[in-house]
Amino acid sequence: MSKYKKLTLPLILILGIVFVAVFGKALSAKSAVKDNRTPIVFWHEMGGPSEQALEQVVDGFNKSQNKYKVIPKYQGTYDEAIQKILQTHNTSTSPAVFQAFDISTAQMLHSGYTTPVQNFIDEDNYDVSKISPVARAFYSNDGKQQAMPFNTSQPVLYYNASLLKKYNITPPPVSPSYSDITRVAKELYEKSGHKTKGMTIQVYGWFLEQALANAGAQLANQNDGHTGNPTQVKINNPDTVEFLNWIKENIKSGDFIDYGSGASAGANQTAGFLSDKVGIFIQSSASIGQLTQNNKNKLGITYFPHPDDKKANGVAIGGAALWISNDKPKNVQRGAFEFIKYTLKPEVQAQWQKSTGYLALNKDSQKTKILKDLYAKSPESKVPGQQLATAKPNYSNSGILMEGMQLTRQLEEVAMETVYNGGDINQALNTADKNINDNLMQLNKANGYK
Amino acid sequence: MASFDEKAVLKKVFNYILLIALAVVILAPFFIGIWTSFLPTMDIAKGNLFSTNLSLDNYAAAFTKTPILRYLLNTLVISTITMIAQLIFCSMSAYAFVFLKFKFRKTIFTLFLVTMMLPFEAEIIPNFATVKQMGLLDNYAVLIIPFLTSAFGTFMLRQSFMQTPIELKEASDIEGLNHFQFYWNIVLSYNKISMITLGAYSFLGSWNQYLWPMLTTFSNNSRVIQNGLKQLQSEETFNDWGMIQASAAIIVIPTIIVLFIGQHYFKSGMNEGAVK
Repeated sequence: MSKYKKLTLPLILILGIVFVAVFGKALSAKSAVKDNRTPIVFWHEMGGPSEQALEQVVDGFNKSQNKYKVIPKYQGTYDEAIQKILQTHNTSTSPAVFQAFDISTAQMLHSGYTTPVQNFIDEDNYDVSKISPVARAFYSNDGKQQAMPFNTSQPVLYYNASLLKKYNITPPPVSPSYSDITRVAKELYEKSGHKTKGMTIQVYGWFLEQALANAGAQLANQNDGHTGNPTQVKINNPDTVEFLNWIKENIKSGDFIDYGSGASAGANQTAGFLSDKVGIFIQSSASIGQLTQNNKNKLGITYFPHPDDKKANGVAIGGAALWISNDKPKNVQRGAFEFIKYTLKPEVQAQWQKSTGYLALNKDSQKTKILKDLYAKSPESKVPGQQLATAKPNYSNSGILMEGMQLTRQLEEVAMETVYNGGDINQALNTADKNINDNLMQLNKANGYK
Repeated sequence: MASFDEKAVLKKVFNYILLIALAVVILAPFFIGIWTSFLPTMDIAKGNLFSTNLSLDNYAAAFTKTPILRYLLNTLVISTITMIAQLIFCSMSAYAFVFLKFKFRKTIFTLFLVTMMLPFEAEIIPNFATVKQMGLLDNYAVLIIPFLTSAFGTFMLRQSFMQTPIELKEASDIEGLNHFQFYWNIVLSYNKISMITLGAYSFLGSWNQYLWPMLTTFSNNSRVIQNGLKQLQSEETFNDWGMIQASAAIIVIPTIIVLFIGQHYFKSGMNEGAVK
């Protein structure tokens, strides 16, 4: 017995090594494609249910033709994936086509690791006019389409239509002003006997940027980076002040509830909305699935609110785009573009909107049966798409093409948090300005931009 | 007499109240987590914790709709190999530091300790560049090779081996045992408890890794469980919280098993020493 006992440890070890050797081989054999189609490795950051929706798109593409085969690979969060993409460029593991989020656009562009999709659009005479111009403008530079928008969302304002009806409150117009929302929020708070808070706005830099975009203002110089590399940020401008004053007014009258910042704040505020604790909140249009499924209340949706004395300029998009890496041979890049073209087909986009809540980018998607059925079932789900279609792209609502946006957002959130907790607006914004500009100057210096 | 009893009882009651309160504080999040894993997602999203719609649907969804079993297998293989390798290499180096006499022994040991001062996160960039050059990315190897040995393990076992009575060494020298026989038959069995502690420690450490696998694996075939858990969550759209919670519960189970086994050995180890 003891003789065998002695042998167990080395035996396990040897077995383990053999196992890894065999298994590892099987692994690499598995990832190599059996058929002779050109493999197109596709890195994405869609987790959970949206990963399943994305796999449907990929399957559809793979079945549609016999030249290329797209292999989807999940990479973690948006932020993590950026680093992986940049660090693995030029290795055998790097992707042929990848998904990178909105605020990394400048970083991707400056990396020089990508082939502009414009090259392929020109080769194919592909008609981009069907694709939402606001979304296209976000990912173009120098008059060239650098990447193709894919999963696209816009912030919209959700309200509890059932509660408003119960208390006999006139719902806000489809494109509300700040005071429209204040009115509804105050009425809801008073008429519900202080049981339901009127509104909340999450401490999220994206919303602050969208408030500026909707007011037609720019955060960074060089037209928000669209005509050159930004060197200066001015967050302390009249439009930010008006936005924050609006929030402050509601905080003072007691109808505002603060859920804080970060991912858990988003989940908490959704929970609050679904359980009638708060009546109005602003969130990405992609959240719509969570709010319509099994929600016993009727949901109301409006555009992002705009300042009282201004017309809505339209908000920029959020989400991510598909980029083509330039470290792969020509035929692989071509396959990547074929896949991108497929993702933009009217039916594919329509199904994508239905299963995820991201907006269909192809104008013809609105005519498909899939979306018509969806709108017939829940008419309010039409609103986000309308907001996207109404906006005319200009420098203010095409995103901020600047590096270091991740940190910029954090600093914006610090400023918002300060104001929510009773701090002085001017002082908070000046601090944010100083820190963002310091960081920007360092980044520009490190990257060697004049 | 009566007042003395009252005091003792009061003290006991107070002690138990304190202990119960602490137990609730520590265990509540754990039990809330397990509880919510049985609830439908809509009730979780609404914050309706006292719902009675309990079911195993979330667990069924976790096993059928996601590759979580594959991730469990990946993690199990990687953690087991890492644990065995660390036990072998750490105990061998610790043996050398304790029982072999050679030049610069202290200096080399200090060098070992220096690597312990540097957190792994600080070495990530050079390590990543190395494995990238070696072409190990997105493979089991990249998750195992950098962790084959650890300075902490060597340090811990060295401290433990130093407690081994020198008489044992002398006796085995008289018996004519060579170094390997002494190491394998006597030192290892004498220090069984430390070995099991290190084993449990390295297994759990490997099981709970997140940052390194996140950076170096790119496909479901080599993904480990902690990253798989993140994958179940989408960033902006609808989330199936019930299923995510069920998966988290599934992931915890193996770690609890390891702890139970470890505890059993701790107890028997202590008894061995006591009954002489």
